[in-house]
Amino acid sequence: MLNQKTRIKAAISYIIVALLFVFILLGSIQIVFGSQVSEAISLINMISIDTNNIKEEKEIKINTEKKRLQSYPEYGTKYGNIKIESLNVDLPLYYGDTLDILRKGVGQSSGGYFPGEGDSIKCMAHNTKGFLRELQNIKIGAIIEIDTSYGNFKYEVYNTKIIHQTDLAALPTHSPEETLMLYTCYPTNSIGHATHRFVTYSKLVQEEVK
Amino acid sequence: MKKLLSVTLLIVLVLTLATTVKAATPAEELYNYISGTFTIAGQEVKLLTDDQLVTAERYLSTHELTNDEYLHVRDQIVSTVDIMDEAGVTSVYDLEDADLNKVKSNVKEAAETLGLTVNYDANKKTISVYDGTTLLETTSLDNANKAVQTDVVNYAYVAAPIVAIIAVAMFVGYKKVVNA
Repeated sequence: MLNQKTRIKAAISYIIVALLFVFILLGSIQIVFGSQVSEAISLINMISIDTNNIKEEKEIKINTEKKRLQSYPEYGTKYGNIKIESLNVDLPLYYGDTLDILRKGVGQSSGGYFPGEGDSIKCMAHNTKGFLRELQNIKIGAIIEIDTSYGNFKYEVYNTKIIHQTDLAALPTHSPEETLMLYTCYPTNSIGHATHRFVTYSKLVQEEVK
Repeated sequence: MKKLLSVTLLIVLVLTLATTVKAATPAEELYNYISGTFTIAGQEVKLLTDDQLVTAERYLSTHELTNDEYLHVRDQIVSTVDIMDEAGVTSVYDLEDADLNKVKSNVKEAAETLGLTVNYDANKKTISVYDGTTLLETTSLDNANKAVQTDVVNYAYVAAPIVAIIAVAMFVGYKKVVNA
């Protein structure tokens, strides 16, 4: 009995010492390397072996009368850049929303329209540092700019919402006027996959067709 | 005389309008067909979601179809609707394996009619559509009915317990060696 009690006490002390070791180690890493730790984690998460050949962006033109592109980028290709100056965001914009695409930049749902087509545009990106971690800090009135080979489009944020991941009605396929919906997972520090999304809604305020 | 003139003018107007009304192209016919509702298992059902219709619209607006191609694709859709109706389900996801395989076969035939290839990846749970070597669309079944997942598992929370377990094991081993 005494022997068993001694063993249990010894085991508990081993665990406490080990946990102290872990906390001291992690704490030291955080103090020494600081924000570089979260950047390293973001980089690790981004690593993917891209077995696809590099696809060149093809020239795209828009029919401004019909408000439709004359040809569309291939799924998975980069066709523009998305910038949010107030959040220091400048990321490549891809057509498509697979995991491989989201590792590289902002994805755009094929279930929506393109900038300049006068309807809903649905884009998303990771909620990690270097992507859209700061999106929840965006202010009403902030400008989101999408620059493409066929034009430059500026959108002004008029609303933000936290929605459940299954609330697809909050990401409508059609809007009465051109609306950019940009979202990321929420909250940013969830353990395991987040069940909510932080969504910004922006309307087109300026367009310049090339 | 006046009445005759009015009637003649009316006839000319109607004929002119009739000839200037543009007939729908096969691609437009197909889009109109797939965006309609179908009676399946006693319910009025849309086969495609709004998002899927946008993808279809995008493809059909940039690709021409012959009338035969339109009719053949339409036949596959009718067959799929019949399968669902007989099974008493309003979603393909509710079909049993045997019926699902028949639907997959219909999809494959419809795609081939349009010169497309459909790939099902059971590991990645994705469906990809190719036009030759050009990828048109990839749909992840994991993201069905929800907004795309855009976070990653926080590895720090996963790593810390593992490090703790290794540390405990090392410490126990050290103590055993010391006390031996």
